[in-house]
Amino acid sequence: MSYVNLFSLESLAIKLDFFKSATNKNAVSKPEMDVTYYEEYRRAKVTLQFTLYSFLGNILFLINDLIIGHIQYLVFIDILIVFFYGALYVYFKKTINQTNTAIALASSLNLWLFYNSDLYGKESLLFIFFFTLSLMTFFLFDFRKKIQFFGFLAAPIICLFILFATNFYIFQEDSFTTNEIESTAFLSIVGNLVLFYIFINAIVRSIYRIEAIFSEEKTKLIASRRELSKLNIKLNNYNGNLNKELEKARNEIISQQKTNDIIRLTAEEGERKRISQELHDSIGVLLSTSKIKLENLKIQAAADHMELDEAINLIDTTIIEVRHISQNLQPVLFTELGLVKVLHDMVYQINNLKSNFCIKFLNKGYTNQLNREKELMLFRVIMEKINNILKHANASEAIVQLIVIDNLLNASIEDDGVGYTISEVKSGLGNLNSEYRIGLLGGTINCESSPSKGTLVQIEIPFL
Amino acid sequence: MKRIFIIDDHKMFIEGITSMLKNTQQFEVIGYALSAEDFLRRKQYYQYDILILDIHLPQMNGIELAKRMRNEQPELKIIILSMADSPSLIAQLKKLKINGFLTKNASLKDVINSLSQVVSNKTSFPTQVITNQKAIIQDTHYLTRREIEVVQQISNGSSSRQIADNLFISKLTVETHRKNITQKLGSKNVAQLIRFATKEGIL
Repeated sequence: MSYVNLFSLESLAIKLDFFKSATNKNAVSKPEMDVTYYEEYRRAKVTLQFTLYSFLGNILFLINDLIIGHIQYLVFIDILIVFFYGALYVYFKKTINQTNTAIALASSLNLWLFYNSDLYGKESLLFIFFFTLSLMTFFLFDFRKKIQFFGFLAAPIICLFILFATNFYIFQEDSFTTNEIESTAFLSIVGNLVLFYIFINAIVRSIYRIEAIFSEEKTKLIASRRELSKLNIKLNNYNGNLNKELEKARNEIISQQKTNDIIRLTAEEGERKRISQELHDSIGVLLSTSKIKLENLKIQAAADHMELDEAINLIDTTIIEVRHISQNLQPVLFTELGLVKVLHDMVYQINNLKSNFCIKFLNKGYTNQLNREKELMLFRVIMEKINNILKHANASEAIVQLIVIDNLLNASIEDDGVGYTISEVKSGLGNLNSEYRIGLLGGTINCESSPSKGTLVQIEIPFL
Repeated sequence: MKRIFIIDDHKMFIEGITSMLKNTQQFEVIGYALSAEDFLRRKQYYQYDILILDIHLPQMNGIELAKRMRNEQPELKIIILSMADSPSLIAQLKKLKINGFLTKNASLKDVINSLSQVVSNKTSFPTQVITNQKAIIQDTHYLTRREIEVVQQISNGSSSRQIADNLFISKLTVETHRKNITQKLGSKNVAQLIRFATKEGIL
């Protein structure tokens, strides 16, 4: 009598696939659990749930079988069975129990009618057979996928067959004796006990499965965590290496750029030197020679010639002018004389040219620690600052100092002029240029000025 | 009649000088070379009393050549010619015992003056150069106006921070000043510095 339960257990495995899609919808995966494990856990949980329900149904059937002689309780139990399966249907409506519930409903009705056939007549059994058939057809075609349809087909067909056979057998008999009923009930009890064993087994297995999933998940989680931390370390190392590489590349680029800049500036200086030399040598010499020729002419002419004197003076002025231009482009003897001597000359020259301004120079300890290219760069910066003083400062005195402290050259240019607010000139091209050149020398430049307090420039260059 | 040999890489200039001196009775240009190397190769064939050298020569420069000739012939008169009248250069030439210095725009009078000076065992250098050496401060104890201010502040017991605030400059600037002052005066600590400043009449 409890065949329905048997089938429900059998078809359970197939139906579990349904759970997946069903549970997926409202599955909020626990964050600490791996998704695949969670899925498995859900599945095992539902299996357990379903087995428990089936077990409960089984108990009801067992009670039904045990009290088969007492018709008044039997009716109550049968109603309970019908409601129980009905409730299962409602609960698992869209998931597992469509067919099972249908079969359960039908078979319960069938059973009930079977026990009470004397009340309703044997024709009612025929009605219930067709009712079951139509109900099952309805549910079977309710499935959306064919494969499921065929998968489920086996159980109901066997059900139908048994139902039909039972009913058909019953039709053959005119009436049932209590003995007959009780012997049938005995068989059913035995069957139910077997099912008991199967269910308990299934329940225990389900519980073990869940536990196993948990422990497996745990060990795998630990392992994966370990793996993850390893990967993390690797990643960090890789990152570190990458950063180092990046830093190296950046430094290379910077040093390359610096080298390029130095090359460019050196080339620039070379060009200046060439032009300066050219002016100095060709034009200067041409002028000098012209002057000599004119002077010779003057001697030969005997008498005084105003025009000749003027021409000679003019050439003189031109020579001086050319010399200044050439000197500004690059001190002609820079390579030969070096920074200190060129600064001496510069001081001398400026003082000669300007009557109300005095520039001083003090050198403590600097000989020739920097090479000529670097000296030239520093010289350009100092000149830039001195030119600023000459042009804008309206100063009466300025002093240039070179002071060597251990491995460091402190150069400073100080004046007593009108000064300026730092922001006024800070972004000036000259200042940027100076900063740039000093930067190439690996040094720093610091300007200090305020209105009416003069200007101070401090340059610090390390000897490498 | 003093014999002159000219070394200059501008032939035109040599010609100019030569024709300039042609009319004088004291001097005569007996030969010229366009480079130091050329001169060194041929110098044994000439008898000369005075050497006029340009500084800028194609390879070996005039100063180098002058050094060499001075070593070889200590009594030889050497006059350096240059476009630039650099006082440092002149100082250097004096050290090398060069007899005279002429800029290339010198007039005939200047040239003859200079040659005469040299011949009479005197040196001939532009006078203006020598008088203008005051601007080069030889006394390394010299302190600038700003440095004196800083020393005064230090003697008042101010810290670098306070000095910076008082003088409206950055602390970095003050630190650099202090380093420079210490280096210049050779003082090892503040006490020494103040003692020195007092002695020098700064305070």
